[in-house]
Amino acid sequence: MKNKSLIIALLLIGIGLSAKDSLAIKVFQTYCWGCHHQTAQAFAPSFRFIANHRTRAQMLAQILNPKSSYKRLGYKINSMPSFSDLNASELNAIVTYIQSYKDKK
Amino acid sequence: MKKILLLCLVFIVTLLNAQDKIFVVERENSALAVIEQHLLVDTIKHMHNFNHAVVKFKGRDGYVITRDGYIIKFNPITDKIEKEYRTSPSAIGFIIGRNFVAVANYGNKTVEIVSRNLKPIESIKTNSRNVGIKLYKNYLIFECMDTDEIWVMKDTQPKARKPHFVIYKKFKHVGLVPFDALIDKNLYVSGFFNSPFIGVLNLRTMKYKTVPLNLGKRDRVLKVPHFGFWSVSKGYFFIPAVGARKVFAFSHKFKLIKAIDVVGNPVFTSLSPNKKYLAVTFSGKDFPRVQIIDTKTLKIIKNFKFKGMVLHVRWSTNGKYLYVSVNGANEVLGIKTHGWWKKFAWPVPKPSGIFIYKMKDNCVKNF
Repeated sequence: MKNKSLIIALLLIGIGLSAKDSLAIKVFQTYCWGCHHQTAQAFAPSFRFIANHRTRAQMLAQILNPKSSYKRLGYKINSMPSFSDLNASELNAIVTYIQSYKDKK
Repeated sequence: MKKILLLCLVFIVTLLNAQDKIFVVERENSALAVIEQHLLVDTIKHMHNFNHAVVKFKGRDGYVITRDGYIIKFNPITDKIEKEYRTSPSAIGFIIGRNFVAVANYGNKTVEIVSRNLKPIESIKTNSRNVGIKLYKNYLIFECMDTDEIWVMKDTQPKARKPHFVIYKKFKHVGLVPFDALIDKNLYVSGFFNSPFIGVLNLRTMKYKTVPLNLGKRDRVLKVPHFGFWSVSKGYFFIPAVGARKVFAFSHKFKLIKAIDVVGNPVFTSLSPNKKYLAVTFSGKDFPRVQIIDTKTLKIIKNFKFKGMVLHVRWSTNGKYLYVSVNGANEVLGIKTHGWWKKFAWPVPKPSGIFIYKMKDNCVKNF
């Protein structure tokens, strides 16, 4: 019985995680991939670079209000549009997805 | 009799080879799908990171640039990789000269010059990501995206075995964030991400001027548009707007003829070989759509909505087909332009760029 519950719990966590992943991929492919690449410098910085150099709060600020945030990140000019229309789940999913590219120490 | 047989053989081979050989970038598979005689015949594998890969041909050589900075030489007749060389951690474009290949890099902030056999010749440090690389006579021209400059380099030994490029002229403060360029004869036309104009550099006089774009209401830009030589017709330059649902038609003297309203933010504007039609692709929610503009009336004559995101289109050399890379549906389509109906569908996983090698030009004359 205990084993059964454990398997069900693990399955539910797995489903939850993959749903989160698919939401992140959806957000990435809808809004981000025209300018960002996961690991290579493109028109915009790679997710690996962002994950290694910025905090979660900095990422959220840049996504929501880049006009106010870009100078604090060291940029001279801003080319990124605001994505303040993303909901909390979408924001959480994309930031977690970006952070998954952080180099392992 | 032998002569007649030989002539027949040449005729048959000519007919067979008259078709385009199509190479399609499989974006997620590090591979090139090969379509010949309207059949999916081969896949060239192990080609590194193929996001934004670009293929070009010169004579019997094929070259690919990859997102992770490799330049790969392959044989477009046998479909075999011959050599590869990594120019930086991230490359964006390249141009093929008589005795060199010049690669514009994002990574390392350089333009790398290599031989046609991919041996390094020289590295030009620009202190910027580099885009819009083109050739004009003995000049190599590119834009520095981070410093808002256009550099014109001159090959000081054009008749030698190897080129040697020196700075001929730098144009500063050309516009904010240049992202791509097209060249038509002596005119190098720059697009800017953050300036409401295009830049026109006359390479004959080395004079630079800007031409304003009335962008009107601007949308959020989700994909940087691409320029290309295919957007220049006999009468017009067709320029996709950045962040506006328009394609601009300019005269060759850069007088605005019309801002053509289109369904979304344009990415590619691709002219048919007979210059009668302009195919336009889009980004964002309009990724699955393609519109066809009649270049005589400058009106939209056909709307397509495909099953998934369209990442690229290419006209067949004879203009009979429009090839469409439907990334979201894992297929490449051949649309017959006479009647605009789907004649071919090839299953290609996550396709993006479509590139055509003209077999007739490069094989039959060597028969």
